[in-house]
Amino acid sequence: MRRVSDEQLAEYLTFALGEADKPSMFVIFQNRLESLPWIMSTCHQVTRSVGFVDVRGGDLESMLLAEQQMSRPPEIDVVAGAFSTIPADARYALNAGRDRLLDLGRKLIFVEPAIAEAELRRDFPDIFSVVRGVFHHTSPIYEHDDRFDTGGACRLSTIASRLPPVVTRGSAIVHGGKVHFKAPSVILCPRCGKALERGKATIFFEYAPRESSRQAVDGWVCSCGESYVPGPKARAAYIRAFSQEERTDGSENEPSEEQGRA
Amino acid sequence: MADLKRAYRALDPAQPARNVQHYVQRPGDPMGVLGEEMKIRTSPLHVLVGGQRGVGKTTELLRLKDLLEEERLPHLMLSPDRSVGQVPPAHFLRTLCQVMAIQHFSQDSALSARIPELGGAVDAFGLKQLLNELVNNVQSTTGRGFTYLVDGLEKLSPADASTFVTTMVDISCSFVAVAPIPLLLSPDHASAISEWDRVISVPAITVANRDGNPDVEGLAVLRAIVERRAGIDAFEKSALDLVVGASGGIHRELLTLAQQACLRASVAGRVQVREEDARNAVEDRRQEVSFHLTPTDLNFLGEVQRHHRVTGDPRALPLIERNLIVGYHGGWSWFDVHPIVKPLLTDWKNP
Repeated sequence: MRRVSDEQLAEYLTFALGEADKPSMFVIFQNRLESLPWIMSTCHQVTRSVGFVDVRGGDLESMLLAEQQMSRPPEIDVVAGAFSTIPADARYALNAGRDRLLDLGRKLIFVEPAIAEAELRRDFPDIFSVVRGVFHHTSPIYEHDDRFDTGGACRLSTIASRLPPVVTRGSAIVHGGKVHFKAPSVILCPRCGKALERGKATIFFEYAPRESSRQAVDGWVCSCGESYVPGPKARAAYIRAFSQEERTDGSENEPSEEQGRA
Repeated sequence: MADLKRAYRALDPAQPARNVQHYVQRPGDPMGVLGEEMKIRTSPLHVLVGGQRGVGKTTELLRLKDLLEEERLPHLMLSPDRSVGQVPPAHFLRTLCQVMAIQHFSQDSALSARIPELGGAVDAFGLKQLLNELVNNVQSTTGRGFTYLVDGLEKLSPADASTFVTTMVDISCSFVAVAPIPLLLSPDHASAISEWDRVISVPAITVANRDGNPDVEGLAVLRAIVERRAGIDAFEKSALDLVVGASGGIHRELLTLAQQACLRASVAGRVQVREEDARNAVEDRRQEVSFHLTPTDLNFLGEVQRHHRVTGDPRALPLIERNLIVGYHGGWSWFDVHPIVKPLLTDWKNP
């Protein structure tokens, strides 16, 4: 899962395929156009006898059984789309029949789209619990990023400028080999419905001295002109704005909700 | 010098410990105790064996099979998932009859004449009668109680497994069947389960006590599981400790992590697995898990980590099934978050 070079990934895969006894199953998640040729050529480094099964919603077991009728079935089978292209009831049956797949005594490499990884792990828990290796031949994946504010990792724009070592998916960001979680979901502007962004909001305190009546503070801004400031920050701005007056008349008025809103 | 290639081959998570050299007795030895009881018992016994995915239920069932073989007690072991995807009761009863007929009655002309019935449209009631007849015949011939060992039941849906549990209780022989966790934990199936004599829990082997201190006995068992397969010099002590601690006491998880550490060490040209290989294997596994955790999952896991218990909350069962929450000790006495997830929880609380 840590991003490794294609060469190192090929080394891991070659070792695993060469050393694992039959039956054994591997899964490769991929999202690159050249993945399938790369996998086939890596398998050819282990043996010349490599088969290819394109499932496309068909019955994997009967396809493999048909192949087994051949005088010399392949040493390694690269199986594309066995999990992701079948409907829910077929997934249930295939997962339940895990041991039947193992009983075929084959060396199988399942090649599946990286974007479906979470769903396939959920639908095939018994198969994934016995696979000998899960590999990722992927470019960085970005999805659902619009639903999250950036968290402790750094801004997404900063992350994007350092593409190679970064993967973001769902609520997680892997940055420099370390997992971070994004902050809670974005807040929508109640006026226009767009996502609010972090930015400077200006609060105007009408009765404060002129030099401190405008306070620029960190808050949430929207392109429609609406902006919001969290309560503690609004309170601090209020104290800054009126601190001179408080010293003269000693008043301790708390800011109201309206004052907190820029 | 350790042979890491051999170690990698031996640490296959798909293969339960099938021989004496690989088997390590778990604390409490639940199947040993059950085997002793079956030696002396004269009436049928119906036992459900429950446990999370990968904790070693099949290994324990194979141990019971060995014990029955040693005592020459008649038995048959089968997995429903090997024959069908979804199992209506008539189909399952037919499977039980067919296996029995092939094993014990291929030479018996009177009963062989009735075997063709199995291929026809016999209903569940007729099949149940036939199965009872077959079982009684074996028991009167051998003078010993007959036992079906049923594995893989946990791969069926809770509804199918519940049907099995309800149907088999009327058969006049012993059953030891592996039951799915949702079946055991859900109140919907409580009445079906109560018909059975006993539920034996096969929990994960404890790596740390409830207060967080290492469990010496459990850790020794887990170390032995790896050493029996990979050889005693395949891992540096610190590397083995790291893998054992990160496994959460789940047998299959342990083998997966250990073989991944072996792969990394071997490709790096080492003759022994070092701590950095183990750490990389654990870190990769942690990242795999982290991608599929939602904020809701993380919040609930945080609660389990604090209280060490699981209530009837609907969020609990999926996390137990994914082995992110692990049950320890017999009788589901306490739960903890899988050790591989704990650093992620810290990161979640303090981003």
